[in-house]
Amino acid sequence: MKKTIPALCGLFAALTLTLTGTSEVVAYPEKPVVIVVPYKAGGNSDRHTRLLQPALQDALGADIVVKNVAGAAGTVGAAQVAQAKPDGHMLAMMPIAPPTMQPHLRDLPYGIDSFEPVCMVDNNPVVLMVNKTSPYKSVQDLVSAAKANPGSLTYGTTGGGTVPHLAAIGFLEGADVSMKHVPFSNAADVMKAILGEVVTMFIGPASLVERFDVRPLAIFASEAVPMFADVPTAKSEGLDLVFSIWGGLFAPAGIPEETYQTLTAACAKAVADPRTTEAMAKIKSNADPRIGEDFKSFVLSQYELNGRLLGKADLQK
Amino acid sequence: MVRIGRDVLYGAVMLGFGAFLLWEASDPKYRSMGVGTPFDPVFYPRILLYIWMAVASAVTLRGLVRREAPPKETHDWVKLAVITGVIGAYTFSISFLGFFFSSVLLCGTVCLFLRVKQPVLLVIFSVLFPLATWFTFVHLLALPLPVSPWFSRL
Amino acid sequence: MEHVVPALLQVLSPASIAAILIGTVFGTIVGALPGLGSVVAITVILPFTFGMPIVPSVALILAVYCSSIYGGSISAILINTPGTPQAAATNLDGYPMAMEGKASLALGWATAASVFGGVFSTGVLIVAAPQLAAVALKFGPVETFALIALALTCIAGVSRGSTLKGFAAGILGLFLATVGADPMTGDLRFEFGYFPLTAGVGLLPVLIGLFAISEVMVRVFRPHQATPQIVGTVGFKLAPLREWLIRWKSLVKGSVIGSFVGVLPGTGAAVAAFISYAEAKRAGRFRDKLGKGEPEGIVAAESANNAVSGGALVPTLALGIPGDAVTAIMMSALIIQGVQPGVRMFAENPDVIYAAFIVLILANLAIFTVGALGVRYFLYALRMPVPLLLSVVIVLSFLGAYGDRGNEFDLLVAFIAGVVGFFLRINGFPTAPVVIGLVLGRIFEESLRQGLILTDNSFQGFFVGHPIAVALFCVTFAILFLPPLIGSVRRWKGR
Repeated sequence: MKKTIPALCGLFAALTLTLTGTSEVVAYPEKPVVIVVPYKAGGNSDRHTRLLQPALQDALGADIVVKNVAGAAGTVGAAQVAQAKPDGHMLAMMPIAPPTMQPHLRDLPYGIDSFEPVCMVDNNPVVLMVNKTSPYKSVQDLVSAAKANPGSLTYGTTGGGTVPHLAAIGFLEGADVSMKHVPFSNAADVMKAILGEVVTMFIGPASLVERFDVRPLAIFASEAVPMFADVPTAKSEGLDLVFSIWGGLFAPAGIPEETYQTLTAACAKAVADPRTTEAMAKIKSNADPRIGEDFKSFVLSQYELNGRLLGKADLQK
Repeated sequence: MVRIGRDVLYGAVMLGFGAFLLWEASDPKYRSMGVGTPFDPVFYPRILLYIWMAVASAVTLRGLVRREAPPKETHDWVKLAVITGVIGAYTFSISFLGFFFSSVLLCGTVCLFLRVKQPVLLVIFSVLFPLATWFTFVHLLALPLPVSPWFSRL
Repeated sequence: MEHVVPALLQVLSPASIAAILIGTVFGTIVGALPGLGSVVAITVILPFTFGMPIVPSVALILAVYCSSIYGGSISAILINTPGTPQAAATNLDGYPMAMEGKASLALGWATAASVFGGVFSTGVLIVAAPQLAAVALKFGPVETFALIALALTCIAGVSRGSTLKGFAAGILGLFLATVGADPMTGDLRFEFGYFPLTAGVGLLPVLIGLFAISEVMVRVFRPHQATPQIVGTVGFKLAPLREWLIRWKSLVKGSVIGSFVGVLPGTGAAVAAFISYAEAKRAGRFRDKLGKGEPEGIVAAESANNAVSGGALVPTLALGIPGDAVTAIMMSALIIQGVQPGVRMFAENPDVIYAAFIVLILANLAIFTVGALGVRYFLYALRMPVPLLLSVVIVLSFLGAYGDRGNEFDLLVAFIAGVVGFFLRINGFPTAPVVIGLVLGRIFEESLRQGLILTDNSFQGFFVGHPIAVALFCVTFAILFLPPLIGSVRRWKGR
């Protein structure tokens, strides 16, 4: 009898804890950690999650399950994580758009403050590219052709209100020219249109340049990127524009401080792991680790910047 | 009593839905969308809905002209209603009870309702099959399934 | 040629052979389970390839790819629920054959036709990949629009009973594809303020609802409806050669259609199977019997959907543009391995390309072996008491609907599609056109709108300077309007 009462109390306490969801006493991680990728398998975010998986698994000391929750430009998966129990067992691997762009574009069941940014993994500047057989050998060629025949050139994007769209709007404004906008639903389709000479240019992820053997004219980074050393920056072409597509790990807001610290430490270890860096080099992705507070302030600044840009482009909701 | 052909009923339902969707497509909110492209998002759906209305009218008219006798079959509307209800309940219970428990309930109910006479078979099947499926998915294939509020993985 | 021998040696290593065999068995099983298609099968094995050398991992992926397409036909024939969208056309004649007690014969036809289509398209891939890739690039938005318009005419072919009802179902499918976020502008439409709808209506949940769940309801509704007959214990029976020879045209046509449709990005195996089936219905030797359990229908559908596997690899390997969802995942696996599929791949990694060719041929042979030896175990499904079988179908169906996007809303979609599918079926509305419309809807809309942007909003512009598109439009009109015209001329003459 003496033993039963404390045991019962313990059981009761455990029950209360599980019911109320406060897991301060419970060790983290206590079960497999699910990382939601808000896109289909095989996409860029999926690829980065899976290459981070082995190192993160070891650093965290728990199994990691990758779950693809695709749909509506990543907002369905993002919403699922935003509404999940904030105990660190459900995380999201998201690129720039779902947390910092989509909330400006439409009403969503989440906002920027629904997430606690954990760490950034990759950051790839976008590149202005044209078909290799096209007569445009430099940004100047392209701009003067567009000036000579206004409206005859076209640019492809991966849809309205995406990074390639914003970058193109910025480019056209900066160069004071106009082109027809042809939206596609994914990068592969745009590349097919570039190769088939259906559209003239595309400002998209740098990793596409080599795969599709297209001609890069400018990279939208503030300084030359080692992996693309021979591509001039937009700044050197007279356009002070910086656009990149980054991705990182997010937890739902309200996660206990201790768990958050465990997570950021594990992620810092995982992104620095040689397995991760080698795999990223293989897929030609530019690693740019930002951990914890550093990533948090970066995300907030991106959120504000993208809001301004979308507002300027008349795309804000 | 005048029997209305079933095609007329289907055509009318289609016409009704089509009209409703056309009304939705005429909502002024869509006109302000599609900035930066020459079309608003309901440009193409509207074309589809016009064709939809034409096809629905054709189905209705043909149903009125050609009255075919319904084929003679034995139907079991009661059973149908019950099984539809069971599947519907299953649809919602997965979110609340998790995959495993709701599947046990579903298999049990379906087998009871369709008169599986051996109780041993019924119980074994209703527990073992969901368990095996759950194990295959969660452990062998590493595809997470909805869980119940009581256990962390089941 | 100097690359063939090293590639062959790599493929014939124990690791690669084991990968092909395991992949084929696994792919066949996953493909056969209702709702779990090629995409799920490949996603699941993807992590295993990370630690493997490149050739065995390519072997594993390709074997799973080919066999999962084949596996879908097994459940289509045996329990009237296509395991994958690709097998929906196989259903049309496969299940009626099983009802007549010819299930093992139907499986034999499906297996052999699959293997033929797969090997044929591998041949096409080996001989003409770069040239075909160049053709694929000629398909801009206007040409794509014309092609999809042509593909949509196959709705008439797969509509048993009433063409008008088929069109009604097809329109429903096309409309469902527009629900949710507009793929081009990101704006929301027809979501009625309900957030889950912004993700759109998924193909897999609808397919599962229309075919599998409505099948459960129909079985309960018509208690005395015939169920498949089980004759003997043989699991796999090949028809005599003579039977094959009189159906060779559909076999070859299906393989050609599948290879070609596979080359053009964005269409996929389901569409290829339906187009091929419609062609057999139009010009096949046994066209009058099609839909009533005629092997020619199985042959046309199965040769086409498996031929897509080789075709879809053409743009994937030669351009770096995936031909369908499955090749997109495969491409991702290759990129993680450090191989960049694309224009430079033939020059930079010829050994991988040749190894992939050899693997494809071996994988198709493995399908035949697995089919011949293993299909009998699937026949046990038919011996299960009906209530158990129905429970299994319901549970697996909902799993498939959920697993596609990991979205609980898709369960509801599957259920509603089941109810709608049931009411369509009991009144003679074919359900296959809904699937065709849903598959093609998005690319149809995109190509129309992109084409209009490029021609400055003039639809007439589609006919100027686009010879391929004009030719395709002509064929479309001929298919739509010639048969009724000829029919009425004949009737007029007969008077």
